Amino acid sequence: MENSSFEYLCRTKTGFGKNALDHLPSDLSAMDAKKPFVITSKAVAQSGVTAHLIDAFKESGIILGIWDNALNDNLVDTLRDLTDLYNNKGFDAIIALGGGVVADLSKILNIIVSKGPHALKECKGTDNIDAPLKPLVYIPSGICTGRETSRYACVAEYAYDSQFLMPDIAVIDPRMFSKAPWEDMVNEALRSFTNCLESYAKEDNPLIRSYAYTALGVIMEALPNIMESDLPNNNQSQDQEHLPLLAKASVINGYLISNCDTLVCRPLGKMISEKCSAPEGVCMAIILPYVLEFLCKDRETGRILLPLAGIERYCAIPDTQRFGKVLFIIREIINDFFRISNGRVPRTLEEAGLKQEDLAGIVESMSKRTDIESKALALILDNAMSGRSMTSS
Amino acid sequence: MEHFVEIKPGRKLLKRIFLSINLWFVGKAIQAAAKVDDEVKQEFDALPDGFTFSLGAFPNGPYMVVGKNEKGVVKYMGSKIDTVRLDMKMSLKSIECLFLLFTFQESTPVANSMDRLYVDGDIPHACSIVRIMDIVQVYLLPKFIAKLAIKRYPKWSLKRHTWNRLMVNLRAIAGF
Repeated sequence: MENSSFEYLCRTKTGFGKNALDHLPSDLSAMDAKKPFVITSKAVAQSGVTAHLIDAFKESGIILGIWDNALNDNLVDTLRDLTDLYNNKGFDAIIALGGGVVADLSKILNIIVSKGPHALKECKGTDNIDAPLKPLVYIPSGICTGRETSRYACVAEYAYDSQFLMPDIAVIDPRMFSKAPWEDMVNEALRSFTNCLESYAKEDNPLIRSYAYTALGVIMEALPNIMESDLPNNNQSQDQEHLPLLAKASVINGYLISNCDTLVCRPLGKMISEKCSAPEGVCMAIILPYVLEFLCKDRETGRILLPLAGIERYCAIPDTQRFGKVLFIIREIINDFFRISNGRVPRTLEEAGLKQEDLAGIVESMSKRTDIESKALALILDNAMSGRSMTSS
Repeated sequence: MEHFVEIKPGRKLLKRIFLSINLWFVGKAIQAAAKVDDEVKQEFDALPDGFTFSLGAFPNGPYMVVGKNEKGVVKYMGSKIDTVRLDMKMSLKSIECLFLLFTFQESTPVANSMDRLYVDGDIPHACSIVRIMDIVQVYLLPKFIAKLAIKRYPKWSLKRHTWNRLMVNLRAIAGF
């Protein structure tokens, strides 16, 4: 461990907590930005959180341009209009306020306004952006996917992967969160939980493990609140205290997925989700124990328990039992969600609606993206279908 | 374009007035404490002659400017930072951050730990100024409020708590 070499890049300054938004004018000025362009969606604008953003800029002398129509369709046409707007009005920075679509749109707009219209095609793919772009700020206002703060962006057929796409600043201010549906929160929590736990288990990189440990601590703090306070029978969350915590974990999750490109649960969960009714995060969490059982067979695996159980419980459990306890905790979380949601959050892939005949296609697609053999992938999915432990098969 | 609006965020006039008055009074009190309190005197003696500093909110204030002249006399120099040569500028990141500080919702160490305060100048000098501000706040505020504003309420002699406090407040109001 001491002799191992590693790399880690996080270009983003993260601001979290009460009045974090009030630092933004000063932070933007430090980057020589005088006129930011705010991109958001209609839903976010209607929730009233833009008022807090405007309030944070009072007394700063900075003029804001706000565009609030980020939708999932016609994104390429929208990008053309936004580029004209950005250039004609003389903006010099971008603030993405909202979730995944807003962040993707903002990142790609940033490529175009920094490099020119030709960059939309030229910068496609991996590491084709060779210099920093204009200042980009990301402000979450509800459910996040983790991609927002990552090095990835995708709009229609245009997909980009570059370190320069990570935002310069991410601000998580509790005032900016409106209520979110319970299922979406569960999905967000389980997505971050799975990515962080897998990164922590797989990587020997001490910085990845530090970030993952921090995010796991945040998620473990938020999980009991989600379970206890928000019964899924209410369509809307009653308590939004844990939303900023989940956003914090998602923001860190973005830094992790930018630095770990060998994660298995993330692409596998996405593929499974496309074939069944369960959302991506839930699918990822269902397969997580099986992936860990497979990946961590020959490794020093007990350490994963530390972020999940805390130092006292970790020390109380013998080294030989720690990995078993990790799997128990993960399954317990999923089973608890199943119980609380009256079965709406599935425990197995079968309950998620995945059909046995879809497995072969998923294994074939996934084996092209990972070094795990097809046979092992099939075993992981087969066990996850029924909820059977890998050791019993 | 539809769905687009350009906004010039306004001002926070009431907060600005509140903070301007507070900064004016604290500035005057620093000037008074430098004459009355030995610890404040010692702190200013350690600063170079002609040293001037400001405290305020980024980017447009309000500010207070306090300076020590060549003879070592400490003086409140008003609220304008453009007209004086500053050796050190202490700024809160926004008027809202300064408001949190001056309404004692956050103490100076907490504001610093939350990354709200930044210094353009020498850190040792900034530490001296923070210590001076702590003493001045103990003079100006009742104990239950001062406890919110500083890290640890000091154990002072009865003379310092009563006579010195009276003198600092009187001098601050009278302006000498």
